[in-house]
Amino acid sequence: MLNLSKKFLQAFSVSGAENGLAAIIKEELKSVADDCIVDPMGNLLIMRKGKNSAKKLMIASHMDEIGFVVTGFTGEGFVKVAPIGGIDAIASSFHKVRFQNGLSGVLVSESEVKAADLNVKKLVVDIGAKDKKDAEKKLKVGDLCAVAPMFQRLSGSRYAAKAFDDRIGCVVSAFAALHAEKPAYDTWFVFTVQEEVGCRGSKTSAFRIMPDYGIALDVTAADECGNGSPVTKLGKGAAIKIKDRSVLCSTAIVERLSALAEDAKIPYQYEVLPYGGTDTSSMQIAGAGCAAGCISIPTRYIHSPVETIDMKDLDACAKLLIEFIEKGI
Amino acid sequence: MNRIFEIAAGLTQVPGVSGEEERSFPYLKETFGHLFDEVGVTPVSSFYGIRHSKKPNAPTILMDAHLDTIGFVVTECCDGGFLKVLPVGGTSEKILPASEVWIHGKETIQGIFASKPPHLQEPGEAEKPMRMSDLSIDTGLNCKKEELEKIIRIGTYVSFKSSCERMNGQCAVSPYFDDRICAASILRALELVEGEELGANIAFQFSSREETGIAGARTTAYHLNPDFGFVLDVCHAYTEGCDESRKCCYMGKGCVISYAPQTTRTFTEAVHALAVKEKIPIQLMGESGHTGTNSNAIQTARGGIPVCLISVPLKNMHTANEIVDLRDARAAADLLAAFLRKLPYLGKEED
Repeated sequence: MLNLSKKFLQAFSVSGAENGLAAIIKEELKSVADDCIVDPMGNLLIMRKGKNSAKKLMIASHMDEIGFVVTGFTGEGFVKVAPIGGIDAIASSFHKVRFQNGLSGVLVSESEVKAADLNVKKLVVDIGAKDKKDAEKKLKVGDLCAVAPMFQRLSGSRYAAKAFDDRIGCVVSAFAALHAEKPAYDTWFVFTVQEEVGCRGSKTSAFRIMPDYGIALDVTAADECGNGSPVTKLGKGAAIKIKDRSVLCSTAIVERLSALAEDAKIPYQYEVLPYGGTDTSSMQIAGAGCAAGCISIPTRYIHSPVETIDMKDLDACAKLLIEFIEKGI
Repeated sequence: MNRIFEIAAGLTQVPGVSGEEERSFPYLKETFGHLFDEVGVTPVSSFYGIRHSKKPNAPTILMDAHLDTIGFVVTECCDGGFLKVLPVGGTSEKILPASEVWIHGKETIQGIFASKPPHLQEPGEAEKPMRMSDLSIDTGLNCKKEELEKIIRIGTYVSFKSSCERMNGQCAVSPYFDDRICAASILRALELVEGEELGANIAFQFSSREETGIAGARTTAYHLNPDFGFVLDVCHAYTEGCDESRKCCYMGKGCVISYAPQTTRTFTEAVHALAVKEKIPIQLMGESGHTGTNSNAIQTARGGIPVCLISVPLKNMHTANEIVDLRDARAAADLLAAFLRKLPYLGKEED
């Protein structure tokens, strides 16, 4: 999984421009795919046939990450940008950024801004241009950028990286697609687009598939304050989602994942997230609806360039997902 | 009036917090199954019942009320038998202290919201707004958290303790009248027309997760695929001290018909005219944006479904003591029954 992580994390994949990552994942999974669709929105749908083709399972992980879009240039050649997705100005500023065309820049705040007053409106990108004209030669309005890739091993099995949200979900899903035995149902591994801007890709892909069961793979807050107690704990295993602001997970899925984890002795914890949204909601309300849940990967510092995870949790998530794929409800 | 109360009293005995509506399915099947030709549940935990018409190509009329009630979800078990929770659906921390709840763990146990007593508060503390983190639920078990975790886990749902009582006059009070009183109106209407030949199929949906979004109503309406539908929900009855603009719905003056962008005007007009003709007490409400009900979810399901919104005025919404006037609930039942017999609207928009 470490290798898949490194490979997936290298891709540029800001919401709306996920095709590069989609190509990488498609290449990785082509050997096991019984069907493969790239839909008009850019979602990648990989299907593995199951023992029972009367039922469909959808696994959703999102390919996109937060970033910025160019909105204009100042006379001095600074690049004005607007956020795509939930940007934390403090976490993103004074970092290296990379544009889709490969150009590098640094994300800085306008002069004399105090930390308390910093917000995304005050961020600009310095690409080293001499003036406006020079900048316009290299970039145009509408070009996208994101904080440059970073991948760092910390102690033991813990790693920090930019955009573990949700590349790491894609890794778990791809790993399961490659390593699960014959699935219980026809299983659609869907790598969705535009989750960070409103779970848009999963809406159309879930509508196409109309699954009977849905499992999303996404990151969740770890070791951060939420009602006085952390939402999840790093290193304590796969997090079975109860709710976030977009969804109340289906009891059938919560119970089944819990039972599978107990039986296979996979470490797990429960997650009640007071905020945030996931692709789980789109699957639950597609068409006449389906039983949907989410396996969350405990992650610290979400939406910062140093999102931190424990590989042991990743193992637990992958094992639990594979159990569900093979055994079903 | 007694029959509406009986139905409502039964419906309010079974909790069904958003996310765990399954808890009420056995009761619903057992008690109301006879009113329908088929009953079922959806993957998103809505309950539905269908009554077929013998007439060929009869239209299908949806009748929606939501099954779920607001509640809480456990985020942490603490030493001393206390639980930390977050709200499911909208509530106000102000009204929670000392409220009785049921905690639906491996077994259902009783609890009471605990907060720092006024006697022990620092000067000025009482003026600060109360937050959810200032509150906990006392199970009275006075045990280590490990003991508590044997019955209750993170994610366990908590509801207000169920009850339903007659008050003075024609009023009744229960924590679950939003929206069980409306389900009672629909079920009463179906009882009134039981055994009669009707020109339409009836699809009753008791939808899940209204308090947290649209998941239940939209998916169930997709499944049932009606030609048009009624949404029944509660609305705020005028209470002393409220804004003048709320002086449109009063307790005891009838059910409320809404004219709003999220309802269908021609359909609503037909229902309004019928109520006038049949001398059924109604009140009118004009709404400019969101109705805060399932009307939008159903209006935008599939290719669009014409919707009429009928409300029952209620006081103390989202508290453990929601008050309704049973005459308003009966007016809604009478209006639905009259509609089913006369069918003044068939869902086909004429030029």
